[in-house]
Amino acid sequence: MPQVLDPDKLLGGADKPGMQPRFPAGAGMLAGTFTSETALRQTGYGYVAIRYQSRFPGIIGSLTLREAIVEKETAEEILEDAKQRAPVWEGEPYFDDYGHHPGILRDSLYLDQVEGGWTVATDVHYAPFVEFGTVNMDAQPFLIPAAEEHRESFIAKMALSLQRL
Amino acid sequence: MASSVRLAIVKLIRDDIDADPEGFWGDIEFPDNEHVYHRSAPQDVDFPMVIVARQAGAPMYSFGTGPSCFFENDLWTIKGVDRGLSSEKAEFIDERLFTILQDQELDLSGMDPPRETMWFRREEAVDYGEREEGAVIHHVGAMYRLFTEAA
Repeated sequence: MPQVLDPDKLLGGADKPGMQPRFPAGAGMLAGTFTSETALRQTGYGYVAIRYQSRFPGIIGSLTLREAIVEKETAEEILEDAKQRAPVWEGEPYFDDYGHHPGILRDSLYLDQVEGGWTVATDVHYAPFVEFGTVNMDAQPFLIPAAEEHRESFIAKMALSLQRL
Repeated sequence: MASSVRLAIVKLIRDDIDADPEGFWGDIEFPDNEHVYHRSAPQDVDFPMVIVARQAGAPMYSFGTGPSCFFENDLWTIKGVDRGLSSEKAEFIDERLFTILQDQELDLSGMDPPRETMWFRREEAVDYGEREEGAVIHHVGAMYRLFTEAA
């Protein structure tokens, strides 16, 4: 049986703590909108309060979170893959005064959070020469093949993640 | 497989250079008859030039078995390279490469088994410079994505 409420007490009572719609933590803030509505409907038992509550803010919040998780996971996989592919000097190990040592390109790769996602970055100035080659040196691509390798799995993971909403 | 694709790309570029229908390449003044190199140029070759290299590639598998069960998905870096103070000539070459390569159908009939171009399209710009004895060598081009299927 629906809960019978006194309309005089109910009118304007949507601000009471008991009438606040429940949202997943942070969802209202993430979605930026807050959609709920309390209406009174007259039935044979008197006035009944019906609260309409949109799941949309919760879905948006969950969507954002799931996207972020898949993006971060994939970025970490690409980083590891790129480190595996980055060429490393295989001759006699050397260490000079400038901090150069075998594997400096591989060790310099890191994840950088940018607007809209993540990027695998390096501050080594010759990284483009290794990735794309120079006039007299063949390219040894390590970053783009790593990103390409995970392109399909990223799309599949994202699709699977969204299906679970 | 990559060699057939490369040869098809190089043929498109060389044909355009030889025919030069718009009189574009005449202004570039290539120093020799090669113009187009794979991966890197031989030592002591003069500028400008075009360099073609496969950047990445992996098949995308579909249902079934054999050559028809996958799509070849390659990224090719194709760039104009010039030495000097300005990157203008390398940029001109890149623009012309875009005109003659974008959405072209590569002749892959020589592949075994033969394949067909689904699309060949510019995807990401490549633009950087290397320093050599006080001068700058400009690399200006793009990565082109090639999708092929069994013919």
